[in-house]
Amino acid sequence: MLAGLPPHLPFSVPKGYLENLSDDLVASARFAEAEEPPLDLPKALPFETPEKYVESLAQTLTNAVNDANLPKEKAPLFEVPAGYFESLPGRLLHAAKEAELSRPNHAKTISLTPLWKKWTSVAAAAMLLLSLSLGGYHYHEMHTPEAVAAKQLSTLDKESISAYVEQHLEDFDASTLESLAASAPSTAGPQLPVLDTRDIQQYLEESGELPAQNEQAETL
Amino acid sequence: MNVSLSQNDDKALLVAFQDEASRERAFTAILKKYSERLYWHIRRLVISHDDAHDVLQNVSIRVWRGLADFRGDSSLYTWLYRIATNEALSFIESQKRRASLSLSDHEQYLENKLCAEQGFDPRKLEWRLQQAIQALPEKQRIVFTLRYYDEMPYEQMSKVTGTSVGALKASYHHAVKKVEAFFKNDSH
Repeated sequence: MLAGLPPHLPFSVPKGYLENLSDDLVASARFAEAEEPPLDLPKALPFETPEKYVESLAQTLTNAVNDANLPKEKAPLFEVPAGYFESLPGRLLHAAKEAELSRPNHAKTISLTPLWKKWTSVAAAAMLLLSLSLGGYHYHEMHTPEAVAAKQLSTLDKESISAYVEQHLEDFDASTLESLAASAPSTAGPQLPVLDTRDIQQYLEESGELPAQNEQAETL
Repeated sequence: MNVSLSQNDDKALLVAFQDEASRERAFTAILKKYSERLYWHIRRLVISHDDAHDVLQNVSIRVWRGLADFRGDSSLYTWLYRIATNEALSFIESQKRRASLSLSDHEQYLENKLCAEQGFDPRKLEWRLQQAIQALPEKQRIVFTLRYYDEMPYEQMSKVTGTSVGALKASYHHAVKKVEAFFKNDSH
């Protein structure tokens, strides 16, 4: 295989480099041993600096270092009632179970909910599912009451949770969603579920929020 | 800790830096001693004051974070210059990448930066010398500025740049010849 390849290197060198190479190398060797050449030019630099820049330079740099080492944690933007998150899984479980009991049969209904509300409910449900499933994973090993509640809650199907969210949409305002997102544990664990685009697409199609892809194709 | 924070004694400053209670004072004393020299070293390489200040801030942060692990294999002064040189070169590289500049484009870019400097006057010798320095290849530019302006001994330059003394001497000679040639051509 190599026999068929051209023997030339694809590299290029600066113009005139090879022609002057030996002379340059001889000069370098000579220069390395020679006395340093004198250069009679001004040593003063012509650059200017802002007024008093040099005088305050050490302090300015110390301040910059201190700024760079400040803790980067942000204070939470919204406040929640004391103990809110401790009891949240239990309350959600209770409410979701109630919603499941009161859920009507699976008759297809035409939603009159405005589009923005639909998307809010989808976002809320997705956030809730993510929060609960991640929370359940972490809490499960700790056997706390919240963990038990979260585990039980994770047995509910998506439609029940979605129905609950639809009915209690007003509870899912921006601060609640943000709190849910903030309280969701890190996703660094190796076995955590990952929501990819297809999962979201499938969820939206199953929940009727989006027409199925083949239906979309037909309408085009 | 009863350690004198005289700027003359690097060892005492380093000992003081290891102590949490005197760390910041020691750091400020180190900066008071070396920051101006580092600033001018960086400024000669990156030209603009704002760029030099940004690079110097990065150098300070790196020094603060790395000083506790400084083993004293070289002098503090050499170590600081090495960090400053590397930061300046990284900055120059990032500028080249950002602007997708070729080598000749970059020389032109440096020349333009020089011309944009406050008080630039190509009739004055010191400005023409800066033009000659900016026309040097990068490594020769560093060697020239360290030797000509800072008068740094070659052994120390070798530690700063990681290049042999012989190669540095040769680089300096080449740089001086090019500077002289620049002035010769300039006068014609």
